[in-house]
Amino acid sequence: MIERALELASGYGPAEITFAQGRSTRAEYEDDRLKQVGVAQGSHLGVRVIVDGRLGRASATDPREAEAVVARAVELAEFGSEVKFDFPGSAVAPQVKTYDPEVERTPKAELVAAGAEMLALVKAYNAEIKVGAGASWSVGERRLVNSSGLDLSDRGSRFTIGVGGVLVRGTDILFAGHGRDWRTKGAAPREVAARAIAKFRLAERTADVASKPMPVIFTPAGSFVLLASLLMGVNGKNVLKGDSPLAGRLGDEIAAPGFSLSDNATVDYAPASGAYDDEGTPRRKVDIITGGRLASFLYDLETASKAGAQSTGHGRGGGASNLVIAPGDTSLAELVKGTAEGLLVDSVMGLGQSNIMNGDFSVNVSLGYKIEQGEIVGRVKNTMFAGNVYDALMRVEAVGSEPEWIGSLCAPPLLVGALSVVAQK
Amino acid sequence: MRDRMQEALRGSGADYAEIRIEREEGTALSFRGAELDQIVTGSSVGGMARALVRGGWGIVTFNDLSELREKLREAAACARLVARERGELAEVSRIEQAIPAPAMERDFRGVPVAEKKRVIEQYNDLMLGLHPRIHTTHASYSDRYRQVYFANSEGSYFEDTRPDVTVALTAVARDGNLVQQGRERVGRAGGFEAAVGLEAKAEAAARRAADLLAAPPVQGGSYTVVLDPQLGGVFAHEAFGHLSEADHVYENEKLRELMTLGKRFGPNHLNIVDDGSLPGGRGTHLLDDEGVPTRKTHLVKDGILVGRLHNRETAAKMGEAVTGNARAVGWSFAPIVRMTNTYIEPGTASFEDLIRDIELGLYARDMMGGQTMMEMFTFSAAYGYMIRSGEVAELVRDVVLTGNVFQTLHNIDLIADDLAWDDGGGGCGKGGQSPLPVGLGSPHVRMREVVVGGRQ
Repeated sequence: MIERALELASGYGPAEITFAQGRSTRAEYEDDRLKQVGVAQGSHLGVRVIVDGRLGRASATDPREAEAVVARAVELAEFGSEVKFDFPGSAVAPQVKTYDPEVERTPKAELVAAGAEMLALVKAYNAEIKVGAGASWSVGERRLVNSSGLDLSDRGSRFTIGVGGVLVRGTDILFAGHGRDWRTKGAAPREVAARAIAKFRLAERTADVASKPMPVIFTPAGSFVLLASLLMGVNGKNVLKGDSPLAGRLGDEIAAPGFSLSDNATVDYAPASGAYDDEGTPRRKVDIITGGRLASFLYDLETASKAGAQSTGHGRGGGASNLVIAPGDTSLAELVKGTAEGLLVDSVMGLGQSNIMNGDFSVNVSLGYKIEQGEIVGRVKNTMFAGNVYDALMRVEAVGSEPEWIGSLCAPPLLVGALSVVAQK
Repeated sequence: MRDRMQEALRGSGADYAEIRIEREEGTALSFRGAELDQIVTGSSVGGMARALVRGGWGIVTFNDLSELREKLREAAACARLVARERGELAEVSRIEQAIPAPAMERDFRGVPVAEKKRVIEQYNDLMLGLHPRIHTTHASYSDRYRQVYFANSEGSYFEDTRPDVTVALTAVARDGNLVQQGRERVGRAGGFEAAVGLEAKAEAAARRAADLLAAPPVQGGSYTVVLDPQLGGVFAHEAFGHLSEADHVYENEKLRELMTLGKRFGPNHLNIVDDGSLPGGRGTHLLDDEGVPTRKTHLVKDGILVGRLHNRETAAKMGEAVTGNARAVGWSFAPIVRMTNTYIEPGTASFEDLIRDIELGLYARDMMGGQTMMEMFTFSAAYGYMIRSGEVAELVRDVVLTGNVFQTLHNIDLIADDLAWDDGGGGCGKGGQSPLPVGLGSPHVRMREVVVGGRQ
């Protein structure tokens, strides 16, 4: 089927056929109870063909429609964007572990039990917390063939567990939780629950905040506030179009010297790892910011060809794989201790509602804590802070020594010099 | 399809079972700056088998439509792992219906791709040419023709056709490091006619982007704020509507206490409604995704909480009537409690009444986005004007509003008589299901003491 589709499409020009299928199983707890157990099966066929220098794309869920999908892609190519690239042939790729056979052997009952254990632990800490929890696994296989002779097959597994809860006191509603996402079955429900409980513990008291500038320590999860804009900024297409404020600034100092960021798809079993990207380009570790200096943008084939660059293995669209912020040498405890008055921010809402490409943010703290005289004194409520990511990156005053994986991000805590804080009385 | 589905439903071993199968096809294209960014078509076929055993749900989703009976058995096996006590669904009448597609003056499936591209390109060119400071644009079009087939073990069967067309036009203006955008969107459950004749919207988007370059950021602080109908609609949906979704509430006693029917939630003149049966609404369906007829539900009436939104399960658990609010964004998702068309009913004041006695306030307009975390909400206006001495004054940017919904509802002190609907192409996200087409409506609304973020 796939061979036939490639043969057919290649008659019109360079072509690529991707067929992916996967299956998954999950157990979900809501409001203290097992809510559902689910099983999913899915498939996806994607066709890209370049006809007279223009790209056509089409997709379907049913591989038996392959010929019709090729026909639609060819038809669309007449109206498609002009492209200058060809699909990659075979090339040496890194050895990266992405599949653990144990994952799909996990019985449903084990997922149910993992959720139950986390739920019980959080309830044992505080029975008033309404707990949600989940455990799931998924596996997927992919075959990618193209007219340059590439024929690759790979597969991946994923195992995810998490627990969170809501604590309502009067009109005050507190959410906190923790999760772990990995390609093997490493995570212990006990540890994940302990992390969630620690967040609730810190939030037992609330603290007042005055509206004024103050330093902010971002937890690994909180650092998304800074990374969201930065990822748009280093996206090759945004750079090419001149939309990114980082366009033309390779080699410039755009962050404090202690700040280094890389994209690394070659970490064994990390959630977004893989030897090849969606276009069959081999992946590698890409340094994005080294010692505060902008070192690379992220490119897919199409954008790289237009920018006169090479694909960095970020097909399609220049999105990141695993993001890794290099740890520093100050523990979180020391960062807190050294702060006379500030915030510790774990999660926010409203990100992306400001001019995110420009780096502006103005967000509401959904889980964050007040620091006074080197101590965490309680959770903050009705508090916003605002600033600009590119300004904040230059003012990263310290990088924590304890990196942690949050999904496909591996980050230590970050201390940023004074940001504008607004509190509602 | 019907026979296969009903045949498979026999003997699943579950207390209740259903199959939903969907076929979908669509085209999407977008321009970025002067160039076409992408153009793509897709088709999908997928389904879900859902089974209920003693209050526990088992769910199997699939692209492969073979062996439906086997899929139901697996769903029932999953459900048995969850089964606990007696679980029930609110009783509803058996239905049997093939719902005709909403009127489409021009079925987009018959419109040549060349024409779709040309129409959007014209809007894009208009935006690019409007002002020298327009730096780039995003102009996108998408259509989706979704056919839904539903059968359950109670003998109900329906087919529904749900076309949806959206056009989103964004102009980005730039002056040095300062970047501002103007955005206009149209979304409709209809045909290609919704995508044509939008030249004025394209110009408005570009003009606003250029104007915002010269506007100062709003000074952070607490203000009396007047929301325009688009923002009022977002507020009704995001800040309040989600709290009225019974799945959030039904097993959580404290939330249930907060959301006790009969409790005062705002001033006497405040009325908030969800209506899935509203003719022509973007969130309108005759039946929801459990086969329950949609209807008009008052959430707040005369300032009092009087209703909430249900699926069959939450209605049974809370002993309240079904409202027809079980919706799934696509075949791979179970229907969950969602809003349809949500709006604040008009009051009697005029817009002038709202601003007349405001010494220093903010007129916040159009939405950029919104988000809530139960009591807390944050939403961004696309732009705003200061109100000074009872008059709409200078344009301001970076308008982000935040607060506690319970306090804010009580602080609504005036509602205008000018209800308007946002026909924007936006959608709602919940439980990983996004974007679900919803309708948002409101008149101008005035609220006291709203915290506005900004740099001080």
